[in-house]
Amino acid sequence: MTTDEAKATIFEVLDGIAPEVDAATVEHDVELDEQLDLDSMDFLNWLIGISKATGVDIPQRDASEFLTIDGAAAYVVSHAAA
Amino acid sequence: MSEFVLPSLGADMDDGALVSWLVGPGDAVERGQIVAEVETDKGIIEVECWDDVVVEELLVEAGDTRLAVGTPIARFRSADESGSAAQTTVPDETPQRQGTVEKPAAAQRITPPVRHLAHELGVDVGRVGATGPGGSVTRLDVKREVTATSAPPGNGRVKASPLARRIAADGGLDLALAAASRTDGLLVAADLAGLANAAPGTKPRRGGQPGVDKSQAMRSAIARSMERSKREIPHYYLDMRMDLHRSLSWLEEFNDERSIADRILPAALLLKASALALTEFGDLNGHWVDGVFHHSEIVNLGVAVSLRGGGLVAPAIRDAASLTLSEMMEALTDLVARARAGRLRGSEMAEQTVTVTNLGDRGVDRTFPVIVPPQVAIIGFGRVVDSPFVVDGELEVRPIVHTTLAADHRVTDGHTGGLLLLAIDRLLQEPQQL
Repeated sequence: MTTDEAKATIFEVLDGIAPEVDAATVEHDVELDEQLDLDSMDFLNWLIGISKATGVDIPQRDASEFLTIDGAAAYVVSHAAA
Repeated sequence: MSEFVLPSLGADMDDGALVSWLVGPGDAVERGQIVAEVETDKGIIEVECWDDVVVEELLVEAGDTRLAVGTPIARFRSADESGSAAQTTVPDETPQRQGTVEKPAAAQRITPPVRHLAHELGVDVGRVGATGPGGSVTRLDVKREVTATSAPPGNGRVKASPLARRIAADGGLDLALAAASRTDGLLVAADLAGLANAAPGTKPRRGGQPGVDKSQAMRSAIARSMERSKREIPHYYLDMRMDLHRSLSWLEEFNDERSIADRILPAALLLKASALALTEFGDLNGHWVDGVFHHSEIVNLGVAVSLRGGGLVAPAIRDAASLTLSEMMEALTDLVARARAGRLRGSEMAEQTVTVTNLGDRGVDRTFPVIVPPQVAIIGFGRVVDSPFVVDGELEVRPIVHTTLAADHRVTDGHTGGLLLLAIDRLLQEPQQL
């Protein structure tokens, strides 16, 4: 999986949770918490959605890798089955 | 024979518009089945029927007309009363026309009235997806098929998220053919999956009614309820700092062993502790009606959910004290998702006996919540902040949450409220018991 593919999936999942967000305005290297109105339930659902869509298991200890879009994409790419 | 009236879907509801029927004459309805969708100031609410019945007649057509609560909307007869149109399964009596290519009708469970509707609307029942009990075709399935085939083209007229719009533009997709999974009709990217390969008319389209300013209606509903609260209810407020060290440490260990989908958020612990504590203090759980307090045996915990784009609903987690933590988390996840997608059920909107607000992980340190009439108490959790806290005479840094209670002074005094907060704190110190 390429980084672009991972990001496309990540944004698609985010769209289901926060449809008002325009992906084009999201900074990939800035923490999502600072840009978007996501509560802990939204964040958890986002991780579950990414996990389902990519088949990548995301244990709790790795949740902190998902603070930014870049971080999330890097995690998915490096853990996705080849 | 019984009349089915428009139920009250919330203490402050006076009227609502019956926007769609999901059953029709002759249909068998099981207890708990959703029979209609009613538009209220709080959004579209699914109305359940609480008996096993057969629909005799619909008295009101679906439409925009506002109906007062209590208006008879249908006539039912009980499922064991005999009646001429009571068959729910159908002998395959429809003659197949020679030469037409149809899926065999025998494979499809469909009642005569629904078949008749399909025939009237010119819908091929073989093509309709069946979503009814036991794989039967419902009235709604037929109507979806009609809407799908007649959906107007043109992406500009369809409500969609920015991402969905861009994907459609990039891929040359017709948004009008996509099925919105949300009842407000807003299409999101996931709804477009498979659209590229779909032939026109094969996707059902569901959506809310355009043109109604729902956020304004909800604002008015909140205004009426809160005005009444502040006008009538003499609130008293209590605040207590609670150390979540034990709860959060225990939860971390609990979650470590589980897959992400089974993870439990601290909010579930707070809700469970609140519900359990409320079972001990019945005077804080119930309704104040016409000058008299009515205690509720079970705790139907209203959970305040803020909606994207503004507004607030507080649907109930029913009998919350009886749920395990996993069940509580599941109920909460489901409730938040449906609240935000506008798919709440009538029973969830009418049966709250107490409310919990602000599930704590963001925002402010503490809340001073306003009671939702006719309830008599509301518990608020602020965010969890690492703070100095004295434990056994030593100063330590602990994850602290301010738990507040606003309660109705006509029913209880601060002493009772204080005991409730103490009970919640005590429960949170023994998370393995929750």
